Parts: sequence; C-alpha cells; structure tokens
Amino acid sequence: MRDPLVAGETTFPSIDSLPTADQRWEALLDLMSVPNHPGLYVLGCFAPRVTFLSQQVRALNLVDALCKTGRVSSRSKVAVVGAGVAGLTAAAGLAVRGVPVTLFERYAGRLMPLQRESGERWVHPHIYDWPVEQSLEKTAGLEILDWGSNKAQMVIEEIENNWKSLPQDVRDRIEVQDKREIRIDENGRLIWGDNLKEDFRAVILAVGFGVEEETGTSSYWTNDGIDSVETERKKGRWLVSGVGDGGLTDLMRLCILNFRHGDVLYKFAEHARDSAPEIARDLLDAEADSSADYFQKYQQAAEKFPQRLVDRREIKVFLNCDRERLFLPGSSILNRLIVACLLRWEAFKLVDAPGRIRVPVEWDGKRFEVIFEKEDKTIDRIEYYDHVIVRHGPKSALKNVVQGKLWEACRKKKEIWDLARRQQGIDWTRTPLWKKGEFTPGGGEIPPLRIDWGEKVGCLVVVPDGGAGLATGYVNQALKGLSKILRPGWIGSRSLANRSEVIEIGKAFATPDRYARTIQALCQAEIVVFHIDGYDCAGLLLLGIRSAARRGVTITALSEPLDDATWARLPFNLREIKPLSLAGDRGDFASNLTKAIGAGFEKMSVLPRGYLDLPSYDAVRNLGSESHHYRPFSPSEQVLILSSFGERYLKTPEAGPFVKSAIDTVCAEPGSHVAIRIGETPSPQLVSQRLHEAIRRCQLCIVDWTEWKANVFYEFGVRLATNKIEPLCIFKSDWPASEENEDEKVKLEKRKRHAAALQALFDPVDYSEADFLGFEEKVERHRSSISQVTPDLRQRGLLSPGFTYRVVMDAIDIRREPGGVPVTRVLEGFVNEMIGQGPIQQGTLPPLYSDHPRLWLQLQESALEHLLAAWYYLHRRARLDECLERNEFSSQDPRLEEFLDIGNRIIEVLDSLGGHEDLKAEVGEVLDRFESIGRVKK
Amino acid sequence: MSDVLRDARKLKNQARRRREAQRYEEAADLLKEATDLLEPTLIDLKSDDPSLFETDVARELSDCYGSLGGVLRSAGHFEDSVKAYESGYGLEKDKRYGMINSYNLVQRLVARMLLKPELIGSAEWVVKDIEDVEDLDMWKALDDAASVIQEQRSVRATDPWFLADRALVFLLLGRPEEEEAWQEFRQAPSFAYAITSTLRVINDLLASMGEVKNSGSVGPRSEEVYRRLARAQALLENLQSLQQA
Repeated sequence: MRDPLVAGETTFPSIDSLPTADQRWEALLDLMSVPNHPGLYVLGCFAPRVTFLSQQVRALNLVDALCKTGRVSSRSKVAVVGAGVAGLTAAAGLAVRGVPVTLFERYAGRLMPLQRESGERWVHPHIYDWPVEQSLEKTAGLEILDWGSNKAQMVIEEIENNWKSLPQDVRDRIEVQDKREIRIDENGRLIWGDNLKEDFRAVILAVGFGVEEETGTSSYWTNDGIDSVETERKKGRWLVSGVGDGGLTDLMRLCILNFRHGDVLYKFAEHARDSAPEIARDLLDAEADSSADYFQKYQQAAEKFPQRLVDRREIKVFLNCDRERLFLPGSSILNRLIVACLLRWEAFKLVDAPGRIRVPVEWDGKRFEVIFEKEDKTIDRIEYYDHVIVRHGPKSALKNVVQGKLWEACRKKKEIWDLARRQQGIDWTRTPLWKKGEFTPGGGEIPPLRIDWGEKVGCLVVVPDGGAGLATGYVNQALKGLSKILRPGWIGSRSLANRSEVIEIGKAFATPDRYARTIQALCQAEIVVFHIDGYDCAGLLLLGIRSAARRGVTITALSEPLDDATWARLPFNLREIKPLSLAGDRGDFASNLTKAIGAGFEKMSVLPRGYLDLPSYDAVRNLGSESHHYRPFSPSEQVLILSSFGERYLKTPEAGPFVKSAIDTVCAEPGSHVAIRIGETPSPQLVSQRLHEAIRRCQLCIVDWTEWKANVFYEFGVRLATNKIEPLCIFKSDWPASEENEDEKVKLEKRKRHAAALQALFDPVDYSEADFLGFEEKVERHRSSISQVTPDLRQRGLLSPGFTYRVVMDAIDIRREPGGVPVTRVLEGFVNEMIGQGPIQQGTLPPLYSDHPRLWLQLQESALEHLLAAWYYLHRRARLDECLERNEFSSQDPRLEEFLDIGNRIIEVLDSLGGHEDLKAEVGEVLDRFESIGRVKK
Repeated sequence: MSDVLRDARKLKNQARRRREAQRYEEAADLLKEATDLLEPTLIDLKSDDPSLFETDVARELSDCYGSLGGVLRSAGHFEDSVKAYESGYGLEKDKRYGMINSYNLVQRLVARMLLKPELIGSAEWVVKDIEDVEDLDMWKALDDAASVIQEQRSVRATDPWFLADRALVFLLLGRPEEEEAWQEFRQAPSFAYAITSTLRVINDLLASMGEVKNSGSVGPRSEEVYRRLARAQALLENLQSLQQA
C-alpha cells in the first residue's frame, strides 16, 4: 500500500474503505511505520485515547499485521524497544506467534516502571468507551497479558504475573536486554553502548506516549494524596489546568468526597442506563457532530442526574477552561458528563478569563504564581493559587530515541494521527483485527483458518497470479448455476456459500503463514477449482496436497485447448485428472464448470467413501489390511526418489545417475535395495499404487526439482501432506537449457515461475558442479537424522520440518476420516453401494452383473440385512420408543428422520423381494407410530 | 430435503402400507394430503427452465398421483382412478421434467378398461364421458403408449416395471412381440413387487372382462385380449410361485 504522506494525502484511513483483512493490515502497518524506513514501526506514541487496553490492542494488531503479511516469521528477529504495557504485549504476541523477539528496557528488570508505584490511580479496560456496549465489562478479555479493573499498581502486578506465566516455549523466544542508551540511527538501526548495532527484520518502538513536561506539580501517576482526607484540611484555592481525562479526573478527585474513581464512574453509568438511557445515545451521537453545542448538551444531560450520587467536598476549585472547550470531544464521555454535573452543582468554577499558563508554575514560598500568557507567550496576567494541578498531556518520549531526519519522518506520521485525535470514532486501530484465539499461547505457529465457510459448502479457486478477477467472475457464475441444479441429497442439509474464495498461487507461497492458510483452505473447501495453466509447479504442489488431504470435488482447468493428443502427453498421474479447458467462450466454461461440479457432487453423494477426482486420496490411505503394510521403510530399506523421467535427466551422468549413485553410496547396506524411482522397479503392481505406498512409507524421500516437472511437484505435495518426515529437496542449479527449443524454454519458465518463493520456503540443496562434493554429506546428514528414533531434522528454508503435515493434520475434518461416520451411515453407505440410493424401482445404481438373478437377490437380501441392522440399532440405541412416550420428538428430529428413512427403505426392499410378511408388518407398525409425528400442513 | 418433499414422502409411505393392508380409503386420504402439499408448491415453482427442486417436486407429485390412482382402482373407484392417473401422466409426459417412466401412461388406460370393460377390444374403442377428462381413443392411445415405451428401452432395459408395462401394452394391442416381452420380463432381475403389481392388474382386468363375457356381449378381439390376459396370468403366477420357493 502506498504511503499516504509520500502520495501527498493527509487523511486517516477510514475503516469503511478497508473491506478486507489484507487491506486493514496494510493500512495499520502504514500508520505505524516511519516513512522511508522499512521495518521501523512506532507503536501508539502518537495515537489518541491512550489507555492500557488500547495500547495492548494496537500492539497485538501490529503483531498480527506483521505476521499475516509475511513481514516477520519464525525466522525473523524482531526488536521491541520499551517495556511498558504496549512493549510487553507486542513482545508476548510475537513470541506466541513463534517469532523470536528481543525486548529492550531501560530500568534493569523493572517492567512497566511508570505505573508500577501508582496506588491511587484507578484503571479500567473499557470504561472510557462508555456508553458503548460492554464498556462496564471489568476485564480486558485479552488472550495474553489479560487484566481486570483495579488500581494501576495492582493492574501492573497482574500483567507482570501473566507475563511470567507465559508458557516456557513462548518465553524462550523472548530475550530481555537492559539497555539504557538506546537510539535509532538514521538508517533505522538500533544503536546502544559504544555504537553497537544490530540488524533486525523489524524494530517496534514502544516507548510510550511520553511523560509530562516539568510543570512544577506532580505527575499523573505519582501518588499525590488528593484522594485523602488531608485535602479537606488544606486551605485556600485549587487550580486545575487541562481538560483531558487526566485533568477531568483530578477535578473529580478534588470535588468528590471519599473519591473512588471506579465507584463514581459506575454510579453515573448505571444511573444513565437505568434512568436516562437516551442521554448516553444522544451524547455518543454528538461526538461525530462538529457543529454541536457541547456545553449546552452536557448541561442538559446533567439535569438528569441527582446530587445524591456523590458527596461533595467543601473546597474551592477552579478549572482553567472556557465553556466552549470544556466538553469538546477528546476525553471520555463519562468523565465529561460527571464534570458537567459537578459544574451544575457548583462544585467548582471556571476561571474567569481562562488561557494558556506558563509551566513550570513557580512556587513563591507561600503560594503558586500562575502566569497566564497571551498568544505571543508574553504575560497577560498573574493569578495566585494555593494548590495547582497541571495536566496538559505528555511530551513525546519518542524524541529520546530518534533524532534528526528520522524524527522529522516520525512527525509526519503524527500529523495523520492528529486527524484521528480531532475526529472522534475514526481510530479503528484500537479494535482487534485478529480473530479470537489467534494469540492464545499454545496455539503454536500454525495460524487458525482465515477463510471460514462455517457449515456452508465452500468453494476455493486457486489461480495464477493476477487471475483472481477473471476467476471470481466465472466461478461465481458457475456457483450460481450450481445452486439451480443442486439436488438436496448432494450436500445434505448444508447450503452453498454465496461466493468463492480466491487464492493466487504466488501469494500462497509468499510467506509460511500464507502457505499454511492456503493449505487450511484446501483442506476445508468442499469444492476447489485449480487453474493449472502452464503446469505451474507451485500450483501442482498445492494440487498434490489437496489430493491427499481431502476427498471433495476438485476441478482442474487450463487456459489452452486440451485436445486428446495433448492430454495423452500428460504424465500418468495427471492424465487421470482430465482438466477442463478454458479456451473459448467464458460462459460455456462457466456452464461446463457448473455441470462438472454438479456431476462431482452427484457421484460423491452416491459414493461418499469412494468418489475420486484426484488420484491420491485413497491410494495413500489403503495400503493393505495388516498393520505392517503401513510400517515405515527405513533409509536402508528404501529411498524414494521423486524426479523427472525425462530422457536428458536420466541419461546425463551429472543429473539422474549422479543422484541415484550418491544416495546408494550414503544409504545402501550390504544386501539391501535402496534408491528407487518408481518407474524403474520391477513389479506387476500398478505404478500409481506403488508410488503412493512409497510416498507414505519411505522415511527418506528425495525430491529432485531439476527440470521442474509438474508431476514431481504434484507428488511432492502428496508427500508433504502425508508424511511428517520432511523430504530432502535437491536441484541442479546449472542444469543446461541450451538444448531446449524455444517452445520448451517458454514452457519451462511457466512451470518454474514461482521458483524463488518455493526455494525460500523449502531451500533445496543445490548439487550443481560446484557442490558435487558436499552433496553426499548433506544427504548423509539428512539420512542420519531420520534414522534417529525421533527424527530431528534440521530446518531448511522458512518452514520447520513437517510443517505441511502438521498444518494438514490440524485442518482436516476428522469426521471424514475413519471412525468419523456414525455406524448407521456406514451401513447405509454399504446399501447405497449395493442397490443404489434413489427410488429402487428405477435402479439408479445397478451393480455390475446385477441382471444375474441370483446376484440381484443376494444384493437385495444383503441390503435388507444392513438396513435392518441400522434400523434396530437406531431403535434400541437411541431408545426411540421411550422418546416417543415422553413426547420428546419434533417433526424434524434428525434421529427420527433417519429412523423413518431407513424403515421405509426396508419396506421398499421387502416389497421387491416379496415374502417376509411378518417382518413387513412389524416394521410397518413401528413406522406408523413414528410417522404420525408433526407434518407440514398447508 | 425440503419439508414439503419429506412430508409428502412420509405420507406416501404410510399410504403404501395402508394399501397393503387393504385400507384403501385411509391410503387415498393420505395420498390426497400428499398431493395437496405438492400441487401448490409446484404451481409456485413452475418455470420454463425448471430447477432440480421443481423437477423433484414434479416427480414426487406424479408418483403420488400414480399411487393414488392405484389405491382408487383397488377400491373400485375407477373414474377417480382415471383422473388421478391422468394428473400423474400430465407431469410424466412434461418434457421439462425429463421423467422416463411409463407407469401413469399405462395405468390410465388400464383404469379406463376397468371402468368400461365392455368396450375392451371393440373396433370403436373410445372411452368417453369422464368428468373433466377428455375422451380417449384407446387403440390410438395404446399405439402411442407402445411407441413411448419403445423409446425408453435403451435406458430402462432391465427395469422390471418398464418390461411389465411393455409386455402389457403389447398384450392389449395383440402384438406378436408380446411373448418376447414376457420372456424379457422373466429374465430381468426379479422384483417381487413388480410381479405382484402386474398380476393384480391382470387379475382385475380378467375379473371385469369375465363379468362382461358372462353377459355374452364381447367381440372376437375382446376374446383374444381375454385369452392373452389369462395366459399372462398363468405365467406370472408361475413366476411368483417360483420366487416364493
């Protein structure tokens, strides 16, 4: 996203203009970044409405945006400068997300030093948002470093305890460094001590919103005793200067006897809720109305509040403010409302001629000499007060760590934040952008799903870069068509999601996080449309993952015409897929897509345990009926090589033969057979079966990317999804392309268009001429690590070993895996496979040779027994008779529906078989009783 | 599944069991309730390019009308039976719904034969004067039915209901292919219910025609139909006893 300042814009981005999460993350990073200093972020130093919670939320939003846009990952190092509430939260958030972080603090282990001694100030997470709903909720509700309303000192203690009790693996990622003299140089790098510098992927400046400049009076967080009875004994006049929340709070403390901030706020908020609910809404609405007469509005509102809500102190208090500015937006509505009441009850007075006062205020030995200034800062007049409280707000602490041009750059960002300060309600940065649970420690590095179809049938479209717009058009058109032809039995009681979700292949591999989310979506989507134009290897890898992870409806599509000759040239495992061609009229394609998806659903409804449109799902699951058929092959037994079968590759000594020989050298033991390329092993078994068995069972799998073959990457995807032991990726970077003709070169470039992203994620070992000697050593290292009881593979690339497997395992719908289907559904599934699902007299699924009379009879009788088993089971197990007696059923009770469906199917089968009159009567009698329960009446 | 379809199927299943128990009036009431549910739904849905839901509703309604026709026929209400079968046939032949079935097509003719058994096989075999139903030239209707059934052969080759309808129509038309048609029916996967149901129709026809015959008012073609029906009855009874064995 472009920098608004660079682009000459000075608007605070409206949340309405950011409809997608990606846009919000980018906008947030934009707001918090320093122009021309990539990786440097300022956390909340310029933000309006700074509270503990708002700073924590901004911190977690920043972390969320950094992680989800791929700016940082578990391989990055991030620095957080400042150990206040915001800094601690940012550090904890990063660590929870798996990012190593260094926290720099100034006070030798004293975290959150500013507020930790404050025993008088009361802090509440939401009250300053009153009258927004849930503003009286007493806990912050954060997943990390949570806290509840209390005195500041106690809140700090609670946050610190939560910090200390972060899980060990999270704490291990956080290094705390005590550095007093931290600065940022003009290049945005951290400097401390004797100009020591360290490069971080990102630096977050969480140095707070600053401290008050020297005023001659006590600071906001200092214990000043104003709440105590001593205050009444102090004679003379009090002056409060400043109408932010600090000033208004101190005004209340002076005016109200036995002031307990929390109690007072709740009294007023609850009175408004119970006795004058319209007030709250009216005041909230007025915030956005710059033409409102705030003084009048707040005075009118104050009329609704009785004086008995508080006891007043009898001391003389003056507020340095005029009527026009007193209730302007900028401070909490509730504070302003209480102050309006106090003014109405004459608990304090406004200074006759308010104005700017010079600080620090001088004490002349008897009283304070308060100098009111003119516009040009010359003295207007002098007044004397016995006690003075100045709350003009803090000066930015940022200046302590950034100077020169960098400070000027930061100041430009401040101008944008000031817009949010002036316009209430537009600052969305203090509203969580992340989803619930995403910062829960223990969630690990696997992010939760971003695409969430809920119970709806979702459609994911995987397209080449830049193809999202076009794909959205034709796929949504196809989905619209699908909704017209959809039969109820195809997707059960669920409905189609209205529109598809689109992932561009390049973006899917941009970061580990996006890669993980793509896999999650592939596992979750009922329908996936893959646009595999040019057989892009990255796209084929995703197709392989989908193929192994999910039985769903998967359609592959190509832009080019796919004539039979072209199809016949595809590798064997891709030829089975038979992609649709996008060539020609788009409307025709949408229509064909509709038909293809419909046909897929129809078949899947008939064969829920057997439908396939990709070759790997069953092949990697069904290896045999004995447990030893699934035992892993150790590296000394078998090593699987997934590689090109191209003639050049296989015959060039430095390529295929070299790889095979090197692996044999490393892994072979006397008498063992090891390195296998599936096509080369002598066996009558189908190549596809052998391949998938080896993919699942071989602990050592070498994937040679040389030549960038689509089928290799498809198989690579299957391997990643089905075996937690990471394969060793290799490639020959100096593979000559000279013999390729131009057409082949173009095709190769298309296949490897995401080579850089793939290399960054998987970091293949290069065995080009320069690395020939080191290759065996690398294979040996990988082999020996696999041979350990618990394989301890070294991380290569950005992904930790087994990352894909873990993401898939986390994302699959286990109800679709063995044991996930209720026993009655299993029995019905067998029946459907034997005699079909539809009206029996139409024979919708006649088995092969069903015109053999005895086979037909056998099928009917077997179907009958299966149905009876399901029916009796349901009847007894669910105690349906008792439910009926107790009148517990509704007409749409799923147990009842299933019971009736099965019963009626039994009757149908009995009719077709003839005889069995006693059984028919028994089932019929029970059905009669249950079928009389509620029906739709018209 | 929609509430309407689900409820209609429930009613149809209940009616079916009532019919088995020869509680025809109850069965007819349940089926009328089912058609009352489906009919307005279909009217609301009706379009030139029907959705699959509309098609499902139409199929279910056609099936319910067919079942109602059967129940009314068993109860001896032949005129109402004709009306029900005609309603089912109206949907069955509607190309928009793509139904490949011949049940209502044939049974509407059978019901007319039961209503006017004295006309069976006559040269001017036209059944008239049924309220709200057009007069029907039975010879032409049987010819048309034979053509429709033949067109369905490729997709229903082993469907015993199709084979029974085909054989029955050939029988009524006196076609030589009748014998081969019964042979095919015998070789199809046996549906006891198809045999029972077809036998029931043949028995009803024979009984009606028998009464007419006893009154001595039948022509030679009628005699031929009667003879063929009797032969088919024997064949089916034999099949039934074989299956029960």
